[in-house]
Amino acid sequence: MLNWKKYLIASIVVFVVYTAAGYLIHEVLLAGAYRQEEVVRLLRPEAEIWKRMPLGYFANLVLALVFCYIYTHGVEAGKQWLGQGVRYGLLLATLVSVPTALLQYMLYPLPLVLAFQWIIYGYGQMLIAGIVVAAIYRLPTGLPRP
Amino acid sequence: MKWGKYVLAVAIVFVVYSAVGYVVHEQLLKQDYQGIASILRPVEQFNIWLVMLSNLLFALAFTFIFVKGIEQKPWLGQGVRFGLAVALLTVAAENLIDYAVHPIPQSLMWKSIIYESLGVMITGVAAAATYRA
Repeated sequence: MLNWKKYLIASIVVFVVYTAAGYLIHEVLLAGAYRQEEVVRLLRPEAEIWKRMPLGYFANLVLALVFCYIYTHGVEAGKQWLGQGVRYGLLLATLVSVPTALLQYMLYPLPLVLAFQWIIYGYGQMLIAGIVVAAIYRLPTGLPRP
Repeated sequence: MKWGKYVLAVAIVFVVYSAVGYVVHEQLLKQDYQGIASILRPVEQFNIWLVMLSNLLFALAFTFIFVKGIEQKPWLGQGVRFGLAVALLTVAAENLIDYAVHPIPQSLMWKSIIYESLGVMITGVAAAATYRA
């Protein structure tokens, strides 16, 4: 049975951490890449992007809720939480971050190096989110899976 | 994990996901893409191998997660629910951010979310059907 309290706490923390990591990636680490002429022409003006940013937060909230929900269905009792979190984060990056980066690169004429950066940072972002959910949604050792 | 069954399920998920992707992007949304052709990569630069790689990675991870969470419940419901969950995780989040960042019409965002989500749910049913036996 789902532990709703742990699930909701995990979802909120994952949302905050994932959003903060996204800010670091896109507003700090990749800020220079987004100012290249070949990229700028594919984007909305900065003011318009910020106006639509609540959509981005909503997207992250949905992602956090589902990310944690799927984890609660696959978490195994009697295994180390850290290992499970790391594996889950890497798996979800393969499911979400890699295809997204590759398809964005294929759809829009973006530089290949930017797609690779999205993939690498995406793995980092999902890895952190995986560790966070695993640290919060721990199962007592020796009990069967809920 | 029964690896033989897993590999078979990955192959089926890959084929189904690629097929629905073709229908969604090459048939249903083709006209919408023509409206934003100025910001899209030219057709002659289209790399089918990149799409295949992307779909293969998706199929590997999608099937693995599904197998880890299988329960003693009717297979069809599990497939639909899992497909919906992954659609929320991937399709919804990706298209909302795509719309916020790129100058694409809102109608394209909604169509993409609806069509792609249905596609992922069909993929979920395919995975569940493979594992029901």
